Amino acid sequence: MTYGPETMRELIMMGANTKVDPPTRPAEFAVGQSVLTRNINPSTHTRLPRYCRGKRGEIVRVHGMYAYPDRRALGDETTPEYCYSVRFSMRELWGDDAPERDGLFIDMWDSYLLPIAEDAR
Amino acid sequence: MNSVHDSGGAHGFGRIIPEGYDGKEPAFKSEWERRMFALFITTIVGGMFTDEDFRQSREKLEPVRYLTRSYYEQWWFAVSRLMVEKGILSAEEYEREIIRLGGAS
Repeated sequence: MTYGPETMRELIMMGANTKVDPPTRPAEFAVGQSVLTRNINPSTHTRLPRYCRGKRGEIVRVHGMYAYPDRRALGDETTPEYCYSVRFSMRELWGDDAPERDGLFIDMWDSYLLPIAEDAR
Repeated sequence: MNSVHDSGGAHGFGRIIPEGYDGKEPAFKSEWERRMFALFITTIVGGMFTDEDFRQSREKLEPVRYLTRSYYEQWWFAVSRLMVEKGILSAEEYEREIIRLGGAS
């Protein structure tokens, strides 16, 4: 997407938005669902940090459908995905020395996530 | 990309908010930073690259540069790399212009 000079000031003040509204399909994951992040190591842009790969978390919010940054970094604007807020316990990320009640909320796209059965937790 | 920008969990970087920080850091510490912001916003709004291209370009910075150059210097390296990658300037034109201006690439 490109913008003309007349929208520049507004973009600086408000930022741009890649939301697809209404979305073109239902979300793959629902609030409360347990997920496992994939272990991916692309040589191109990703928003999945190393410390969050192969970790178990829980979907806490469905943000909606947006441009998928990993594909957009390759010049592909046509493959939007759902974005979710996912909670990971600090113990899942950093081990048993981390505070028990603390967690990290981080935004994740469909392609980063795998469903896991409740009884596998 | 598994580059130095993905530093979550790394030890030794110190506090995110430095000791004694008064919250009064200016948006731009010098005029060239203001110009760098203008260069960035006109090239991205003009459709030369996307914000993902820009992030990826910063992530491609050599680790030593990433960790030792200032924030807006990183922006310059990222935007200038994109100008060459997207064919706005050739690598030779870029080098020539940097030398003409008395800089070191």
